[in-house]
Amino acid sequence: MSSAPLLTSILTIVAGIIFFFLSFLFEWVERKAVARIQKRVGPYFTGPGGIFQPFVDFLKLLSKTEAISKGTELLFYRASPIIGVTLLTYGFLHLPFLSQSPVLNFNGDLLVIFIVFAFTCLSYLMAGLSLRTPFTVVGTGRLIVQYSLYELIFLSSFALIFFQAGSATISDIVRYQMINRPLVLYQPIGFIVAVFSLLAKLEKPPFDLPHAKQEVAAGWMSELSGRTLAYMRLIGNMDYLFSISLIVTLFLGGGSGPFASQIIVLWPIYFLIKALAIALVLSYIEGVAVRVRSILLPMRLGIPLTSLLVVQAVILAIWRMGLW
Amino acid sequence: MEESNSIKLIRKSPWLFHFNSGGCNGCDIEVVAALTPKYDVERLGAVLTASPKHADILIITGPVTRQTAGSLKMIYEQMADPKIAIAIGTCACSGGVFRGGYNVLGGAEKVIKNVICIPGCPPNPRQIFAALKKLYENKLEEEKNDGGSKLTKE
Repeated sequence: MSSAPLLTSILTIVAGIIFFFLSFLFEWVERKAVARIQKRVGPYFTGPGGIFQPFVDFLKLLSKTEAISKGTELLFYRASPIIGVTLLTYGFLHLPFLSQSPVLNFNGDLLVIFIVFAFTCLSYLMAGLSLRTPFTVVGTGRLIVQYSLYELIFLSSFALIFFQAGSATISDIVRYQMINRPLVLYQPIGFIVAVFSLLAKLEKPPFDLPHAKQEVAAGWMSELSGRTLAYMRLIGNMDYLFSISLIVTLFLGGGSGPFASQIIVLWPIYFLIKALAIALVLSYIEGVAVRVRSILLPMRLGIPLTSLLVVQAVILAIWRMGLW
Repeated sequence: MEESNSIKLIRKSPWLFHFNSGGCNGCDIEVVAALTPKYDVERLGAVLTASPKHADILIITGPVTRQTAGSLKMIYEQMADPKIAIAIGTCACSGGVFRGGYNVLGGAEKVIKNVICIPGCPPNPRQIFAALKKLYENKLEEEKNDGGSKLTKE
């Protein structure tokens, strides 16, 4: 019994370090894939195939001096990266990445995800509004509208999973998928809606309105520099990896696959392959899409996605009724 | 020039910020051509940033006019240290054909001390890539110390 806290803390550190470095790997995959789709090469000279480029970017920003403007609210400016990085790493510990059982788990820990996303958004807002210039105010305003619209859709698709699996505990949902089939086969519409709204949540093209370059400079990131920019970019990468891992866990059955129950090593490998597949799908949309007009954001995309979710819920309800 | 760690890292991930100080857009198109498929400076890790506070390298195109000199100085001051300025095109290097005009101050060196110059009207995107590649490999050293400016040719 006494070794359990020690094992948990070791696993926490290992998972934290893996999460930190994987987030850079995923940025590299994304940049490389988008470049390939646009017939470019992408990062090439730094490391084999440019694989160290995101990490070198991070180190460079850490070593640069910070240009802090007069009037910056330093409490917000300093606290925002800490909140974001800490909570996203904490959230990742609740996902079954290393093995079937997550490092940390308790009854109903799907709700932790809601808190993690809320605080990630809060850290963006704090960083954006720490200095109120026209660019940051417009950028943060757009961020709030986009986030509140699409995170609602994203998290609603998880509500459908809760209805089907009958549990709000992540490890129970994974077990349900291992006993039956991955939930993407039961809820394909919900899966598509979740992946699509993920793009809006992560501010990737076509939903990069909060930092639309030609309109609002760098949006809410305009006034960040040096260390803070490095960590806010890291939060972006971590958010990307965390959201993808979440979809893999909830829709694709985590790292389950052939022989995964016999050979323990296969679990993280399958998990990573599934996560990379989703990252490539997202990169493809990013590479070919152009930015949506801000008026189309709620009307043409928000309403159809919501109605698709309603359709999925109705189908699910009918299916459950038929089963009873 | 003292070689700090930070300068070394800037060479490996040069983030660009583009500023047109009153040019004809010829060089701007070549800068865009350097970013797009055929020359793709992202191979070196270069990204075109949207805010000067994120950037390491200021790319200046066009002669510096009296109207834009203040903006150029302000943008350069907003960039976090250490930083590098690159003047692209003959106009940005010396003023070009507009030198001596009533509204033209001259090259970018009138406002910023040390500028890497890439002459041409407009320079080939290959020259822009070559200059950034030389910067990446730290081979610009031997050509500096002539009047504070560095000249690179292909």
